[in-house]
Amino acid sequence: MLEGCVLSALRAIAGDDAVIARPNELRVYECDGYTLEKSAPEVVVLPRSTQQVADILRLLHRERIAFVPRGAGTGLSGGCLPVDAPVMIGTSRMNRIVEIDFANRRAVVEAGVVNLSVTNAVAQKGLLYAPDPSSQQACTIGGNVAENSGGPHTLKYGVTTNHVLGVELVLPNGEVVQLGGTVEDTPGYDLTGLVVGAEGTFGIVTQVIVRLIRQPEACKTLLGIFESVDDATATVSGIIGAGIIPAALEMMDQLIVEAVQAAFHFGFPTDAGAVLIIELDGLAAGLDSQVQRVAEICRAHRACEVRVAKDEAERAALWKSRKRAFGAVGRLAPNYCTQDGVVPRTKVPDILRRITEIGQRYQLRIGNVFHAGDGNIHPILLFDERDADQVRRVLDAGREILEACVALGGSVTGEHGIGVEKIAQMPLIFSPADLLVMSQLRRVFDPQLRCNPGKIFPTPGACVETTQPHRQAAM
Amino acid sequence: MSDAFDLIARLRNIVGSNAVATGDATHNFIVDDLRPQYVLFPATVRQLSRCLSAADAADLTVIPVGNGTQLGIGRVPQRYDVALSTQKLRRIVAHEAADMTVTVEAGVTLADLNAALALAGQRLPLDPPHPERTTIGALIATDACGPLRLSQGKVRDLLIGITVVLGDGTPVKGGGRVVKNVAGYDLMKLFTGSFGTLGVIVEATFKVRPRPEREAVFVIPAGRIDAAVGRGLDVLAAPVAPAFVEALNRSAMQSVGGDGAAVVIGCEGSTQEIDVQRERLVALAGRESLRVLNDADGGRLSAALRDFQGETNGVGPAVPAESTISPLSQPKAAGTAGPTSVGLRCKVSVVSSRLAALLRGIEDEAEHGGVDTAMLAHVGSGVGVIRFTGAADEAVRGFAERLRALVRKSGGWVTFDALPVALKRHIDPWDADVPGLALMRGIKQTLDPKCRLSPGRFVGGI
Repeated sequence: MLEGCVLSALRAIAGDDAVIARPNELRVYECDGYTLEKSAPEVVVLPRSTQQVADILRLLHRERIAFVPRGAGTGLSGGCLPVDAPVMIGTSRMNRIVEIDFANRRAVVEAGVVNLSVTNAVAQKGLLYAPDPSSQQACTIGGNVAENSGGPHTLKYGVTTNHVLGVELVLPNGEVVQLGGTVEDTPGYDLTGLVVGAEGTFGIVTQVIVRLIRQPEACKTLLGIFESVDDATATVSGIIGAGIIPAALEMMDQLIVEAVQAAFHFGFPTDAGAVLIIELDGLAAGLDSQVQRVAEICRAHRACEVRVAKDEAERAALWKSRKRAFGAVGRLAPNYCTQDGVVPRTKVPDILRRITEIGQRYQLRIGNVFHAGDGNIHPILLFDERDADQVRRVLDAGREILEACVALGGSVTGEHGIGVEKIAQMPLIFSPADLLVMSQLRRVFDPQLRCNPGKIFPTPGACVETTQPHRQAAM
Repeated sequence: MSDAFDLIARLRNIVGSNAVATGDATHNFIVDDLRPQYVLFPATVRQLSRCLSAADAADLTVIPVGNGTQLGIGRVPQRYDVALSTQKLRRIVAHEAADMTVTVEAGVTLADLNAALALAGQRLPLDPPHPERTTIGALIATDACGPLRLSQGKVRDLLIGITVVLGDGTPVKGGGRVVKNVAGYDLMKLFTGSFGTLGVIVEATFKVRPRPEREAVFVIPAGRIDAAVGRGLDVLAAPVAPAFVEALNRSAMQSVGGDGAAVVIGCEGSTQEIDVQRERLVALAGRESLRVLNDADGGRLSAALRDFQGETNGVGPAVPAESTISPLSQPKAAGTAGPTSVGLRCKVSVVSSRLAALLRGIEDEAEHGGVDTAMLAHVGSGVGVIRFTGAADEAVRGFAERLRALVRKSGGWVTFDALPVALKRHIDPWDADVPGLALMRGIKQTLDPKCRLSPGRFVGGI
């Protein structure tokens, strides 16, 4: 238990209204979008400035107390689940856009700024912030930096790390460091690149310098409807094989199509085996001929129908269906768990067949909505958390799916992070020497391992254990 | 002496007797006038790892070497015992064309890799100078890039997996072979631009891209470098999607076969896309100002722009064509004016909106100081490459100091990446106060605690 003097010191730094310690109020913070494990912190602090974060971390350093950073809590791997960390530091009140440099296409934003509000702030000048995770209406840039978040449009435009030029980082001892900067080539090791995707284990990122890009001159969105998943995946290979890089190339299978149709009434045929959302963008010239080529490739792979969104409204409706697919799944079962494996994109048909087989074996309903162009799958495992046996089957099936991804030459996470969820799978892809070097790097930033403990790395001695999901937090 | 013989015997045992060079045979591996005792040519990652273990056990320092194209960059090594060549690691391990990825050993040259990728209509879209001699290891270690960075990004945007061997011989990998992957810390970023100070890069996996259907090159003349940069910014604001936009001053333009200062624009894509961009460039610049190059001239010019960054003025190409000699083993200039000129090169990085004024300021400064400058700028990235030549050490030294001050005032960074050894005593190739230096030292200490690899060459003496 934290001592009372720590709480009053936190109140003195951040203000009474920024410290949450009542058990009923703390329940909001007991998990993120990964709900299979829950554990509330003893206290949540919501600082308003870098200075307050630095003061808080100096206090925790002096008292040797571990802490966990949190953005909007939309993460999907338990990255901000408190594991032996009594203090949670939320960045949600640090939500100022500090500076927008339109001429150089840069913005400096605080960590708690919501992803979509960056694009909204610059849209009038024809710019946008490219990474667009499905949770972009809620998730924060700080959280995106921690997880190196992706999104549908990363196929062409890259993930968070490709759009971050610098960060302001408060180290676990309270020291504030500026890494990278507004210029492209800063000498020295690429520490910004190392911090992005470190899952909040190096300290608390308080400001981020992001790159903005120009809105494409034109954009066409196609919906391809297929009888079978295999036809849809063959189409994906056909498009990439033709040397076309769409802005986005997304697939939804029948279960998901049914759910989003029921939720948003877009007009998907609910008997389709799979649909592809294919977005092409760039110069207006030449775009129509690319649309023609893609439509032909769809038809060559037995598409029942190919529609082109007729206007921006229809396009927006289509993307809303895709981006809110996870929410729509709530209609199908009380709970769901999303996996985030990656396979080489030509192996997508293989992994989907394996997922079907695994679902049957564990008697689980599994839907698929994912970034087909990247080979980044998102099987959604439906369950009811009140049924302990179902929960166990979900965990086992999820683990088997990730093992299958690795066996096909892939990885266990494309954009959600390891968090607590996939710690046990790390040894599937990294050797003990790899993991040792990474955990040594962590100590450069956090020698006492007080920043977001219990994440990413298997505990020493447990490196070979791959049979059981990691279980440190309470269920 | 017997220790040395033991060591040679051990090294020969690891790599084979014809893969250990000593004595005169090490001449081609001189770095900043320092000659290594041994040059090793391991043929496998395992051999390379054993070489590093043996060097570590014998308390020797190691500089990893590809073909030596970038070996001149950095401070004078504190010590240099072993050159560890990756030249024999030249397998393309796996090109998964349908997945658009390629895994390749560090000693493969970029040109060889791209020739293999071309068979499937693909490329690794990085264009550092001299691709026929630049190895993949050097490409990553020095974060080398060229004009195409505008549209295609840099190494950090394309590298998805890496295997390195640490100074004690431990192989370590990061990333994987899939295009999207966030498992574990991003070691690819850490090793990109680490200049051989953290480990020896032995294998890498990249995303690759389709080759463009067509390429076209356009030239718009401009009065001076600042006008050329301004023209470039106009192009970047126009409804075109250029592959590169390079501004050159008069002297740089002359070195690539042109005449006055100009902005050079490259476009890639389908015939339709290129045609519409040409029309829009005409609308921007005026039909009489826009020069449209034919394919042969355009190809020659873009190759010359690419190679500009790999050469210095006055003393010809810095890297001899067919050997692996250190790029800076050129004759040292005497401290007095004489027939031999001193050639230097630096890279400056600022935000694009400050580039024009900075480069013009540098050009003016050069004219006052009796220094000739050839400058080329990647306009969209805010990066300028400046080659300069003066008749005497003092002149170029003074100019380099003033240049550094100007860049500092513009909020940017400068790296002197071609600097004669004699001048390295006076001019730090790197800026001194880069952000995060203490953390960088901590990382060096963690990965290379005995300071075996390229000691003292990097930022802050790392």
